[in-house]
Amino acid sequence: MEKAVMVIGGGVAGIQAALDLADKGIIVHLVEKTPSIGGRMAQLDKTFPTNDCSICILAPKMADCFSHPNTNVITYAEVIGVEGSVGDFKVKVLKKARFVDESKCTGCGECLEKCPSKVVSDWEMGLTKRKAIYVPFMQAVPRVMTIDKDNCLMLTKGKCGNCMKVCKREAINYEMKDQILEFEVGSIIVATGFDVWDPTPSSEYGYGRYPNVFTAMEYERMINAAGPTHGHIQRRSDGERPKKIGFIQCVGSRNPQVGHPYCCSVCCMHSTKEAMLAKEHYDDIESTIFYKDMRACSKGFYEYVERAKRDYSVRYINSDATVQENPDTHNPLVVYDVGGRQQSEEFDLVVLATTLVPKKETAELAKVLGLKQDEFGFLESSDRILGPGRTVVSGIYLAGYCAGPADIPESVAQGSSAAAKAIEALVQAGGG
Amino acid sequence: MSGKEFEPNIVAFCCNWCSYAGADLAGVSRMQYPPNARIIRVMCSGRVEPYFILRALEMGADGILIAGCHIGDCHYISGNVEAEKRMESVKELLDRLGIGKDRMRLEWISASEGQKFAATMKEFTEQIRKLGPNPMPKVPKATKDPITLKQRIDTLIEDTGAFDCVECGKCTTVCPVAKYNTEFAPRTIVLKATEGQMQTLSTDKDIWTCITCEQCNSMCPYKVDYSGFIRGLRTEASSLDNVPVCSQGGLMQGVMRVMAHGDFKQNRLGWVTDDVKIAEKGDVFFFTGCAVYFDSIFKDRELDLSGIPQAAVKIMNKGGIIPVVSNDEVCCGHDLNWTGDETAMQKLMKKNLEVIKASGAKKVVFSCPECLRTFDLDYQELMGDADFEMVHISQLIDDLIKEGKLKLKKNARKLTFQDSCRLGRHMDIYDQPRNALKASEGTEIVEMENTRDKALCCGVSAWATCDETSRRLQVERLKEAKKTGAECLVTGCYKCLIHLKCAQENKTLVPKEQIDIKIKDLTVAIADSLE
Repeated sequence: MEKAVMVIGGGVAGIQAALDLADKGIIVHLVEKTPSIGGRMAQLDKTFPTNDCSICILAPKMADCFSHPNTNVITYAEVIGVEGSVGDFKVKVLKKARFVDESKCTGCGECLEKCPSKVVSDWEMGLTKRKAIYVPFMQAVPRVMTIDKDNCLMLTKGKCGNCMKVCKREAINYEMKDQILEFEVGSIIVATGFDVWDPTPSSEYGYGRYPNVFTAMEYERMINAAGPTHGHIQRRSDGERPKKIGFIQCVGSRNPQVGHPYCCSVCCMHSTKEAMLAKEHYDDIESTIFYKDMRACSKGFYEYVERAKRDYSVRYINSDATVQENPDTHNPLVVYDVGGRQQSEEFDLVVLATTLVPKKETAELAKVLGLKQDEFGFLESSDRILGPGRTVVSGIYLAGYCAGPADIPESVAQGSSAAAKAIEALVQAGGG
Repeated sequence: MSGKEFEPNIVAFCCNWCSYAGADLAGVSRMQYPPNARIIRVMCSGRVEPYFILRALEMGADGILIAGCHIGDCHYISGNVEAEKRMESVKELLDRLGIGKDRMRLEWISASEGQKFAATMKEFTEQIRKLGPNPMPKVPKATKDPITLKQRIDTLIEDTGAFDCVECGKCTTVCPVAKYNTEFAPRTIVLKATEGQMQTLSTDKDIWTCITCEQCNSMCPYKVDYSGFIRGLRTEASSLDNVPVCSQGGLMQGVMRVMAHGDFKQNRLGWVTDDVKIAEKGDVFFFTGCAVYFDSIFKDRELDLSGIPQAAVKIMNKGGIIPVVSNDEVCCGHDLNWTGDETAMQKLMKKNLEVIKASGAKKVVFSCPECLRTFDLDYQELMGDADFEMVHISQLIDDLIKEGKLKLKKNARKLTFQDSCRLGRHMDIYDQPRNALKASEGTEIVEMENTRDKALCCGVSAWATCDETSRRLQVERLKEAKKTGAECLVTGCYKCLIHLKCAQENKTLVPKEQIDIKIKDLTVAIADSLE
């Protein structure tokens, strides 16, 4: 049993799967598309229903995963081809040039200070800017710089070279090329996660049109102490701190009209959490949550909602809502329905719990791996009831949100489950 | 009638203060006059709405007499002046419908003119006798479907996806009516049906409050067809005679029913002047819609709706098309269909399909979005072997421009465009009208705050209900248009033009300067840029 396993996606599900396998002595190649592992969980401020700091509980796992003797973490890379079958997959991985030697860079950050070009930061949901040479976030693993080749002056215009000048370790290499790596593995775990849906096309929410309408992910970054506002909640229109926040649920989810008929399964809880956090940050904040149905149905979840009502005076209103704006104050005006009567209420800031959707590359990945997508665009398990995580291709398994809506604990469980299945495949292929 | 001589049936509306007493005087003075008239006393000749006349004709009257005080003698100062104006427009309407204006007569008869009353009655009876019986056939009452109300509503629920409603209330939040009418919400009507409260539904006033603008449909996460549901309920209500008084007293529906059930030779082509070229047979049929009838009905308002088909044909001529325009075209039935009279709509449909088939057209062009919507979405089932393409005039113009067949001259102007509900949300046509307007160099289009599929409604549809809410919606829309700084508001639908102008012409709660903006129909605005 010498074959290795490939894990695609370095979010919490992929990390868990990799750790489980590595601990059992199996070699794991973990391919992550972005410059750092950690995934969406690393972007969140707290986790429900315990309000633990998200990165604080994730960072040790990220570090373990990276430094484990049995893991090979390949960041800034994508799977571009798969051949063979269970027990004998040949996987082609495109390792994008990061123009920084991973073995030399210590992540000291001197280059950051000298880099002149500023780019909108995806990690901070566009709320702030980063440099063209960057590390996505403080706890990034591996903690090495990456040069964004589309915005680097040296790479686009051949001028600058500041980072190379200041780097004492001589880690910068503008000549670096994309590489194609090949791996032989016995099984593959897909844990590619989700994209956050952009609510701009649903103009009834006014996102993009009204400055004080935010998405939940933007809010998570804003309320995070390491985020762009250092944990202060600020209105986009005037930078003032809001006193009244409205949270709108099911923005884009449970909505066949916009193409996402499923429940995203997390927004009832994360909005409750976000309303609690607002109150913890500022005692005078009043939060209101507009929900279609309260789907808080895991262990301790409903109690969490009850606690928000009781201890954090969060107001819950059972109605979908749309947003208008008071043009004088830029205060969002939430229009809702109580018993068939139209009501409207002014808020200082509105947070949209946008749905989470299959990653836009899913179709391409499915083609590469020979997998199927379900009616929602997620990767399809071979049997929804008795074979979740198994796919139509034996030896390829799914974990986390790429297979369908799941919260963090579920994704972790699915990671472990996929790891167990991957071992099973290795054992069978290797003849035990 | 065979064997017996025809005895006219005459309805005489007599003013309480003069003519009614005049009739009385004729009676007590033992003057002889034909007994063919049924006298209805009204408080003033100004009380006689155009609709009364049409309804009387529909119900079998052969002639209608309206008698009031001499000008200057009105008990209410100017009621008879109003009556005179109204009757002028009704006469024109009857002429255009092909019934003929001779079937009605307006006379001033004072209380002391018993003789004049008797003489008028004699003369009018003879006149009607000569004209012969009212050719309007008696409309048989629709036979009740043998299936029960519950079954029909169950089908309706099924067809409109009403069971999918999750009561999230999103429809309420975008409903323009719910904003001002706090008792109304689309979802509550559907809820009543899905909960089984069938009996009350057909008498529920809310089903007539809805303006069927489909804002709710377009926003509903579960794609419930609220407007379709409302239309279905209206059909049920109308089969039980639970139709409220529609706007204009129901005159519009009356006109359309005459077209549906009657067999008259209309005179609807008055607008075809020497400078427009039309054909009797050809590939392209231009469906004009009811513009000429609206012009008669709103004779005292400067709407010039007949200018719309005129402009459309001029544009087509310029683009090398000589369209077929038929005097035998009838109303598309849109308004009847949306006020619960499906049977009449189907009759109209058959007539129209025959006319179009006879023309040999492969393509039918509409300048009225309601006609387009009805043909495209409601005629489908009865289309049979009729096979033609249906386009809105703006689509045709957009194509002609793209193909280089039509050129528009430079026209420096700043416009804003009102997406009508039928053209936009129902038919999904947003870009072509804008393209067609912008095809003339220098034309700039500025958008209102609520635009395209979020566009606010003109407040009334299918002439069903016109109330306080309608007016507030119109005012709100006009304010939005004014705010854009555009010199002219271009409307995509005849009705938007009629309704928005109505708000400007009447008293509103906001100062005039906030809503005062020139309004023009889309086709007319495009034709302005013809070389």
